[in-house]
Amino acid sequence: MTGEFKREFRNFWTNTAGKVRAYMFCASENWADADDMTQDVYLRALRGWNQFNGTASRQAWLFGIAKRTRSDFFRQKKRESFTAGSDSPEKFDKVVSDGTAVDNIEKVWDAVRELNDEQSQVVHLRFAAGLSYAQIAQALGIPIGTVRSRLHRGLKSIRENIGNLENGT
Amino acid sequence: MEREAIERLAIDSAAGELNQDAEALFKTYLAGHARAKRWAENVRQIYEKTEAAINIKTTGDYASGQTRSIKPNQLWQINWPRLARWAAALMFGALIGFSAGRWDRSDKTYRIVLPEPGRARGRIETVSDLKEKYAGTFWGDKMLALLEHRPGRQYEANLQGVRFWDKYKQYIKEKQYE
Repeated sequence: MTGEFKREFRNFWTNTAGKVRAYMFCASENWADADDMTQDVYLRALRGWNQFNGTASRQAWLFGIAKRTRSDFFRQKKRESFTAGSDSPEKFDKVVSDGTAVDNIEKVWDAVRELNDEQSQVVHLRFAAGLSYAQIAQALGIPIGTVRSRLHRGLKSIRENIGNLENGT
Repeated sequence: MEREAIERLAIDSAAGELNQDAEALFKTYLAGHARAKRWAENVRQIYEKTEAAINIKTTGDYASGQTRSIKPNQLWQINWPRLARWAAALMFGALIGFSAGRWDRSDKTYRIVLPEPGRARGRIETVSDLKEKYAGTFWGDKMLALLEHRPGRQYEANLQGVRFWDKYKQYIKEKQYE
């Protein structure tokens, strides 16, 4: 492993690790699991670094790996909880002290949690990882139009889940 | 425009995915349509709330793109304690193997007994000699059959449960050698 490659990989890490970790946290709601998955993503990326064919952006390629890692992790977790009895997801600390704001955030977060897998993938990649439509499409291997409609449907579901905001309630 | 189309455009606009011309057109349209503007505002609000909620949940805990428990260097650093454990295990195995080998060949002596040159050889019995001695007895017949490379006589007790065809083949075989 050359020094130049190490530098390149470190830069890549610095620019993307926070986003990957946030994307993982959205699904696991547990920082320890998010860290494990993030580490796994970068190990896989390191192993497959030369297999990147350049058709997508490096970041989209990385999030493609992240998506697979997330699925593998939860498949494994599901198997374990099936044998050992399932645990409820770890509840996180409230990060905002204002009561109303916390309520709103919790409401929206709960609504996001209710999304189906396809919609939540797009919503997490858009809001937690900050990917563009094109990058999401590359990471998930779907057309941009599908990304657009899944995001639209996802936001509609969120709206339905958190109540009728049209009336301001 | 239908509500669905307005909402889609509003989401694209909030996401910054509309090009400048489309953005300008959309704004102009909304300026002239109060109802459409309300729909667009509503969906933009959802978009921003979702973005804010996810950002607060996922970015409150770390800073500057570095994660808490892992660093990029860890991915290619040599794990010396682990390497040392493996080396120790291998050396221990090698030591055990070497010791076992040394112990096995330590003081074993082998004695070779050579025939005495002056000792008279006895007469070797031929098959016909043995026939005279042992023919007619159960084990005698077996032994003679072995020596003559032919199947021994099958006694009725052994043939119970054997099919007729097998019995016949056995009979033919015995006849051949007689």
